[in-house]
Amino acid sequence: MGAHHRWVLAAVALSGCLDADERCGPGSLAAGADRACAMPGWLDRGYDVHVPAGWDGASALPVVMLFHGGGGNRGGADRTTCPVGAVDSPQCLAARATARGFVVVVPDGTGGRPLRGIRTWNAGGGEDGWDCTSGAACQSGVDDVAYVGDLLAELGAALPIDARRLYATGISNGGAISHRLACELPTPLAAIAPVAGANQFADTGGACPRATPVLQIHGTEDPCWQYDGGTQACLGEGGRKTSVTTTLEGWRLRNGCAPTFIDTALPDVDPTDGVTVTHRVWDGCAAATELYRQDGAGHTWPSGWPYFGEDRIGRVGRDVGNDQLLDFFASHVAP
Amino acid sequence: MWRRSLIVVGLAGCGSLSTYRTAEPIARGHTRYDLAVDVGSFRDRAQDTRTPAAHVELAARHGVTATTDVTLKLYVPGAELGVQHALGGGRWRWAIAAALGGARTKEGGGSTDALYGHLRLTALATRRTSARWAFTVGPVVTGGVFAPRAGGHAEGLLLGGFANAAWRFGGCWQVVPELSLHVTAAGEVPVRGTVAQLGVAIGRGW
Repeated sequence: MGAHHRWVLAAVALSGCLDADERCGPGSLAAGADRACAMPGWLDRGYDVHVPAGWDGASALPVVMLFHGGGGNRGGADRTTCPVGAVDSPQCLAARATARGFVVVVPDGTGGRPLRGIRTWNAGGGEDGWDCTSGAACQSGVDDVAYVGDLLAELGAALPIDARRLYATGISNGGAISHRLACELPTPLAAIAPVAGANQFADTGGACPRATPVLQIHGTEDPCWQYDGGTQACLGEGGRKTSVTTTLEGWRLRNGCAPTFIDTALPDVDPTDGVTVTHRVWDGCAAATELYRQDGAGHTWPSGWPYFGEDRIGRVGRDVGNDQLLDFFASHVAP
Repeated sequence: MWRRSLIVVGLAGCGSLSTYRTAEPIARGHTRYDLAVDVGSFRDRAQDTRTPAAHVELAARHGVTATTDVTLKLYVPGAELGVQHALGGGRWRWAIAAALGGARTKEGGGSTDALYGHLRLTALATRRTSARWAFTVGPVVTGGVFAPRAGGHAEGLLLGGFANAAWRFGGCWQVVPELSLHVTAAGEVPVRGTVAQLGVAIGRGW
């Protein structure tokens, strides 16, 4: 065969088999479970689920859905809610929520192409100069309302969830999708608590007929989603974003509130954070409409993780946090 | 309106689309080693994104017969095995090539936990104009698959072409600048749109 050839083939860089996530079907989620679950019918749209350790195995469970911000993913979503980003902290939203008996579900948005790990939610907008909020999911018209509907159906097959106690929260794009779900999800949400994200969907003409208790949490120095709306963005170019004022006026009307409100200055728990909080509660509402206006705070989770430098995203306020958010959820049940 | 995406180096998981060779076979028993770098742009029309990228690869191409050589290519973060067979010719030399490759990516840095695979078929037509210079063009068909850990799968078919110029120097050395353009004919892997790459390979034969 000719000269002696020494031919050594390097191993192919595929490191063995991919250990795919499984569906979290009936009986697969016990008390205290922390699982990564595949979401059938959707490409790379899995979710993490955290089941309360104190669950008796039979009672219907309230569900908190936590939506990551634009460009993020489910892996970072809960970390954003943790003080200094410490994922093992008992003060993270998932830990506090499960300790209080909530199931926490953290899904993945649509991945970009080719950067599949850059994920976004279709929270509306995109016409007449309005920002398409946001990114790939909005530009390509992904039906994230359908995804969440499928997610809840999938979760409901695995756990006895209480359909009257479904809650949504998230930061930025995650907050905006929370608003849209309150408007469009076939199963009414009991309450939403969007952080640093407003109702781009309804404020740009989307149909939003349903009353839903809302606790909006927003910093007045938010450079990524300005409190007064506008075109300023932290990543890339964008259109106009709606304002907190416009969003809450929309909810005030849907929720049957009077135009008057009461402002309460909350205790300045951390006087060194450069932030104070005013709690605004509208009067006479059929569904609660409230605002934590974090004066001086940026595009950050209250008492959460400064995921970028203060020069990029602004300050983290440490006067309110996950407990206040969960208190709001715990006090509202869908009719 | 174009929307600019994050600038990344070492595009996570995207397979090699490059050729960096002529239709001329590697002599039996000889090996050529190439190092290539390229920059590119991935445009996805549905998502209205344009993602710049950079790519580095190492290749070893070994002649197994007078007309056939095999290649092992390593790139970030995958690998590829290929074969090229010369079809002969006169003023123009012709060859066909096939390559099968894949990569495993992990969550982070813009990538997700997934397996990628690709199959690339290339036809090469080379015109050698001097002892130093040869010019090569050809069509490229690339099929790709994306299989994420979190479920589902996606595929894609790119149709494209390349053009390069190979410059020999110092006896055994060669530099090959190359431009390639690809359009998605079906599916969405790596994008639903177009890919453009401009790069250069430098190599030496033994």
